[in-house]
Amino acid sequence: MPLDQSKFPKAKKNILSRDEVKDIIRGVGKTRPAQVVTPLLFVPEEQPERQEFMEKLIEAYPDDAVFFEYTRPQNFGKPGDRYVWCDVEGSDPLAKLVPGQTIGIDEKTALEWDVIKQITRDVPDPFAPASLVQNYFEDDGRYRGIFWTRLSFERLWHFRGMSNTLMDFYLNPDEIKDLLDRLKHILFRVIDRASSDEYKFDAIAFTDDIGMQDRPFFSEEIFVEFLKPHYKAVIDYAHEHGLDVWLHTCGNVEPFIPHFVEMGLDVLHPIQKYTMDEKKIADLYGDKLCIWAGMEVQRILPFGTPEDVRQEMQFLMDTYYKPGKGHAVFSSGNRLGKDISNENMQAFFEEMYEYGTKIADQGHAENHVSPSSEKDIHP
Amino acid sequence: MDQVDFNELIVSVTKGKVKDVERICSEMVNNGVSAFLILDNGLLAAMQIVAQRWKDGTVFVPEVLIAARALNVGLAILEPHLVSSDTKPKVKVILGTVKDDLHDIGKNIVSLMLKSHGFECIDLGVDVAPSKFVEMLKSTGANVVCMSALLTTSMIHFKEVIEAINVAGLRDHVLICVGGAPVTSSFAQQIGADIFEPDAVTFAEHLERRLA
Repeated sequence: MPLDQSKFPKAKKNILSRDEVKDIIRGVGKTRPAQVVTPLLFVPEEQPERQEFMEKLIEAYPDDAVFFEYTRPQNFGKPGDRYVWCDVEGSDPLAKLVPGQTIGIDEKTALEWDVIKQITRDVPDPFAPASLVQNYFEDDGRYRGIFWTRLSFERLWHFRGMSNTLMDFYLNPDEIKDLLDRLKHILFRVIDRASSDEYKFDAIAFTDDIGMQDRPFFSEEIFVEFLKPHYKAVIDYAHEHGLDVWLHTCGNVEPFIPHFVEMGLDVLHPIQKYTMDEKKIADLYGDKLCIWAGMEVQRILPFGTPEDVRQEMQFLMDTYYKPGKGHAVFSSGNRLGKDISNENMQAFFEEMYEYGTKIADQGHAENHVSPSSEKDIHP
Repeated sequence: MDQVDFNELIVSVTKGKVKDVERICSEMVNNGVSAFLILDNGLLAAMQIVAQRWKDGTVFVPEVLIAARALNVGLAILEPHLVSSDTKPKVKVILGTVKDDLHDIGKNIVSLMLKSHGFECIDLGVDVAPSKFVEMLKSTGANVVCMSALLTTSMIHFKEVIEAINVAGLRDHVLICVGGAPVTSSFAQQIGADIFEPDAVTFAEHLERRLA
């Protein structure tokens, strides 16, 4: 389906076609860099007062690729349920809380191994829900994909709790490997359906935060022993079925990037600012995979000025975009929170398009520095 | 007693070998080795090694957690024997993730680290209101409070807690500590917190030093 610009009557930009985005990903892009601020990154129900403003902004600056959020399985169900993460009766920790007790994300879905072993092996079944994705609409000529969260480590700790999982790598290694093996086959079924004639998606995007603010959660050895085989199997299967693989992974993931490259990961998000040196990552790996650069959301977007936001976007594009090749897509680094002003939000979208167009037209990037290298930005 | 070899205990803690730690601590206690000596030269010495490796970047969170877990098992064995006339009571620490925030992973790791440094941790959980922090400071007599936030939209609540502690007249008796991914030392200073460290290992050492 060719891209029909008239389908975007309020757009202040020319939207990129499917093939143009594919070229950017493959490093042969001749256009401006792509904008992909996925639906996951702005959550309307968290900011109802801003919905109208954001809708208008996104109408003016539509994404160059569309990701549909997956239909999320329920966390807990009962035996016989086909679209739940756990079908073991009475296993939901939230149901066992006493009044007044709070439980954080570390443990709210955490289960003991003997419960996990009782889960039906092919549950959740990605063919069970009527639609695999939410808010689906027909092909409009843009590159399109499914956004599935929790590829590997995130899914492990969804089952076990974070502290437990980190210790499980030493204390219960066989159980971890068996759980990942089960999950791998479920992801294969997701890919089967996402790539079928029902959707014909171009890509599957995953999340898997494996970095912290100052270092990875775990060593490269742990990544290689437990997670890399799982990543590789899923990436290979997706490629065999014609899907590009996009990965969001927060924090410092520098030791893992060579492995991502080796496994043929197509697109990597967000190269989180203040956790890694952007220039170094761009120099080492910018030719080897497509960087989906995320504007920083801990300081600059919420607490900087609109001018800071524009300058940071210029810095990011100068760092990652390769004129005549592409290999860079731009977005925010994480959710666009309610502490980001409308002015900053506007500057973010405008500059992403305007500066991207400028450097593509002139055939070379410039040399802007990040505003954070000139001043301390905080609330 | 100075010929007691703590090496096996130290290695067992650093490798998170709970059963070995349990066995060695019990054997040493039964053989009349001072519990204080086992604590200082065995358990805490092991944790210092792990902390140094953390600073050197050669270990990550899993290795720290399994060591802290093993240390706590050893500590439980020693505790009945760690009573003497000049034993200082444990320092009580209140921990919680602030209002509007459910992220507790960092806080839980801090709690585990503090316990392995001998602090008594009173964990208020997540989404904790300023009044709850104050109420618990009063009722427990704790003089350290640790607040955690992952979200930029929730870390502003640190300030409300600090104000509530001021209003309650407790500020002079309470050490206020803040942490979490978006928190910086300049922000911590600006809101009037006493301690900020970027990670749990460094923080536990800092707090111990501060209260020494």
